[in-house]
Amino acid sequence: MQFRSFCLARRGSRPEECDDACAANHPLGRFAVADGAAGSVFARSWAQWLVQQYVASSDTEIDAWIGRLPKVQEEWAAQFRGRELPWYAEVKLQQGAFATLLGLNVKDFPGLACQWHAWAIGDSCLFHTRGGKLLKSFPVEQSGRFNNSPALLGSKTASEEIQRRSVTIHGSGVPNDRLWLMTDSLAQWCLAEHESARCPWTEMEECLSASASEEPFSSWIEGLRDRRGLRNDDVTLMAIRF
Amino acid sequence: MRYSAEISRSNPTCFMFLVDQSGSMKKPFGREPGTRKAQGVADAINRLLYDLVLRCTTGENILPRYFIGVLGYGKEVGPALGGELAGQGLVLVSDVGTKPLRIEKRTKKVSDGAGGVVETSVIFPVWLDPLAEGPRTPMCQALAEARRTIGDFVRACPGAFPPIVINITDGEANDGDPEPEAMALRELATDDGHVLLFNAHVSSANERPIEFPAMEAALPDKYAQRLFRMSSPLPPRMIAEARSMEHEVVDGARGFVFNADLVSVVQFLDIGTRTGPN
Repeated sequence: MQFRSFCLARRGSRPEECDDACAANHPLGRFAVADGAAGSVFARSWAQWLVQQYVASSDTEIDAWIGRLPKVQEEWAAQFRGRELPWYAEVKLQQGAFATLLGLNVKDFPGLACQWHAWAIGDSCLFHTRGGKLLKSFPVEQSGRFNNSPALLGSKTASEEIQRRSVTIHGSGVPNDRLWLMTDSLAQWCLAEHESARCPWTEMEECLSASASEEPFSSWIEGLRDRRGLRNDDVTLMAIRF
Repeated sequence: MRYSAEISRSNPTCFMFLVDQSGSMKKPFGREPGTRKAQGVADAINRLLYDLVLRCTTGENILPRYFIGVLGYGKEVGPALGGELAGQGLVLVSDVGTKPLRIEKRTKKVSDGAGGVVETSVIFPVWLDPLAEGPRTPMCQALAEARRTIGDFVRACPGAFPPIVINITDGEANDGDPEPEAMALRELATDDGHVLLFNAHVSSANERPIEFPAMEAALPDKYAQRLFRMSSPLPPRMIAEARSMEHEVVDGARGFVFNADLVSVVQFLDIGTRTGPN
């Protein structure tokens, strides 16, 4: 199993202002993507904390991961306790930080097949493709279904509410299948292309095979923003090949 | 005219508040006889500024996405913010956030989740204290002054989301007819649309609140009707956003409220992914 990841800030923002995050734990087959909600405080910190905690956990069952979240929330909040903050940061911290989160677990049987399952809150997406053909789209299936109020995982969201907002999926793949994990703007663009009978997956493949560096991908994203209707937002992509 | 320009540090927009500080604002609110209108208006401005600052807060920083001006009109017409911001026409939201006059702790009743209410302490920064002086309500002069300031802004930032001007008043201008001045202000535009002028009418009459009406006839008096005519129609994107927040807003609704506050107008701005409830 191979993977590559990219995280690009929206145009006009500095890299350290990107509120997206991704993380991978290759040996455990765990991957995660999160999109910090722009209006919430310390969104970047919260998004990064969530993906790191997700991939570090060994919970194979989603319920066990959800059961662990109160501790994840508590440990994140603890780092701000006792810190002198300006009034506006203090108010926002009381409201909590928010992010989408998409987590993926892959069990690989090299050369034979793999099984995967994914869990999500919000509109960060997973696509399963085979030879340029889309097999599964999760949790959003149509480009028109994205909006400005996705479900979010907050630093104070109660467990029952997390359970209510969670969605899951599972699937299986064969060698050379692709799983693409991405945040909303690129996911929406990919679905719109797919709905217009074009093949965004092939374009991304070409981009990835062009070079081991990030440059072809960032140039491609800039081109999409300029000419092909990609919303100017932070973009994160994790590309996994079995 | 799309009202779709992105609001960012490199493309900031502008909010300007016009605050009626005439002597008539000493009278009590029709809806809350224990509160003077001047106090209610100062609280409303402070809440709006609070909301705008929080919208730009990321981590411990305030991103300078807005220019903000507060213009008072009563005994005098001029910039109304005090302290370190005194005398300035437009200031960046990052300076507004870091330079309130003072920070108060106020108590607020909130649900205890079990059917009761409890009092909790909340942070309430104050930028504007109540003021109600003099026999004049020079709204025309205030609108003309706003037109000068906003004119400078649209010339300097032609690609910006159009400035939003919010006028909070008891409606009784006495330096002429403010309607032509309002129309002249609304004629100013960036490439993205005309300036939006919204009006909040705080009345001494104990009339029920009205939010974002589309018809003049249903309004209770001639002052409210005139302020309605002066107000910009809400752009379709703001109407869509308002509806997504479950406000009942009909097509043709104007940025006018009667005996209600205008905080929701700011919330209708679609700026990035909103934060959800806990």
